[in-house]
Amino acid sequence: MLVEKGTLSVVLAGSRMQYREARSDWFAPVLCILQPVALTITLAGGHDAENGHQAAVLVGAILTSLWSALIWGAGGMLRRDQYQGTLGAVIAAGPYSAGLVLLGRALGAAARNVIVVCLTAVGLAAYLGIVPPIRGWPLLILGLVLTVMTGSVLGLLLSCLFLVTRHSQHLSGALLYPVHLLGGLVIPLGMLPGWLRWPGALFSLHWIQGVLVSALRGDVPAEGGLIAAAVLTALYGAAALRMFSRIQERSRRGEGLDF
Amino acid sequence: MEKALTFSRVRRTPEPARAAGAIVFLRPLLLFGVRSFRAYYPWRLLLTTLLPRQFVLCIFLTSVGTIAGGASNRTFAFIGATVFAQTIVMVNVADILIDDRENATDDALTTAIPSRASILAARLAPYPLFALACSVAAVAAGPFLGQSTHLLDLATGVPAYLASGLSIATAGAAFAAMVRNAEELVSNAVLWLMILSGGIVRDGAIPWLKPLNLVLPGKHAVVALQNHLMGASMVSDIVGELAVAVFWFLVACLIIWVRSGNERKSRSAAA
Repeated sequence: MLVEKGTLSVVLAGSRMQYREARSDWFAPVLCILQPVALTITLAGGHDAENGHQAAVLVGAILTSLWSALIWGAGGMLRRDQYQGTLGAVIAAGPYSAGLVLLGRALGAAARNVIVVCLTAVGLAAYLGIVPPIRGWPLLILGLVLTVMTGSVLGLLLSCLFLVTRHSQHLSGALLYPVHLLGGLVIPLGMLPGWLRWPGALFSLHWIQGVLVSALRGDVPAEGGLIAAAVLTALYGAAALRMFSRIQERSRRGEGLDF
Repeated sequence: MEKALTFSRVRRTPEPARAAGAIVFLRPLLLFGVRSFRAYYPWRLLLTTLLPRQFVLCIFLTSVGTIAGGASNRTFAFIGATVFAQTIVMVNVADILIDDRENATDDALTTAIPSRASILAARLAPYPLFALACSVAAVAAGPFLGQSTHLLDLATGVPAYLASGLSIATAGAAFAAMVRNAEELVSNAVLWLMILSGGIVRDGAIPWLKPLNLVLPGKHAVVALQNHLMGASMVSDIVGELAVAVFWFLVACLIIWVRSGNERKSRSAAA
């Protein structure tokens, strides 16, 4: 049962632990600061000063960097446990539901990345002269909450995926740029051939980009984007929990996972 | 006095013997380097993830350059992207030093009879060729980017790609030796520094970062290839790139030499 006594405290404890671990990670300065700055400065030069285009560039660069940080950070969560020899305890021996602990940890890792990337975004928005209108704030906050949620479950999903392969580091590298290219975040889908545009629709951050850009422009709420992002986040979460259950079963049977 | 002379004789190996020793060590060292590379990167891994990744990276960087600089900037961005596709080698080289520390083989290397510089050189030897393969994978994206007409010219620019592979591998080793526990940070940061200091957008460099082009690996090779496509000689820029490679190799050796000396005197390297 997912909701039981102490559920919230377990999730919070897991997220606090992972947040502290993420503070010592190397990638935050590069992937959450340098990369969005480099992408925004490079791409903003190619657009006119119209607020809408600059906002799309900024949000695209920020979400692209968030994806990179998720791949290298939250994605390696269970792999690092395996390397440090604590995976067995995490999966089987804890007093609480392992799924809840892991969900909390994924939330902590995503929250850390989102906070750093948001601080970078504030600096870049000031540099580009982008000020979100008052009426866009509720949508902006909703979009950011959705970003943390989708980041958490994506981190969880990647974490489980990387655990079942020996070459997780290289798989993470291989997953990085196809999403940059096909996700429609910094490269507009219109630049791609027609038959390569559909994968972007399966990526929740693509829809979240639409929501955040609408918020920054003060447009009408993008209900379609919100619903699509929420549905995709739920699907990622279901897939991650299912994969994690399979990993637990395999580990209990003594198959496949080397502790 | 007698004792001092004896030690002096033992420690001073005649130069020809040193050279012979170097040759005797060279073959097994190179074999070690090649086998170590093959163990890290089997063919299956190279062909299914590493090289396809560079193919996609080239499309991504060229597209970014095209958005930023317009359609007229596409070829410029493509040339830069084919060289920048080699930057993954920096992370791979950093992994060598990280794994030595994490697998506790650092101690053995500190006390090994071949110097650490020669062991490092041998282990780095396959990486310029790997870097060349990364560029080949990136160039293969040319037809998808409307760059088919430049493929032959870029194929004859192999010396420039090899030179940049050398400098990127040695710079990766130097960066990894400089920063402990954050080796991959520096290597990943370099790709973005290379982009910000110019390379995929014509006149898109941040002015105060331009001096970095003198020592950043790969930047001279980009200029060489641009000259080559315009029919000019690329020799001077290749020489510049090789000078950058020598510079970073010396930096790596110096740091490792100082660190090994300290570790021999004081304590375990892996602790």
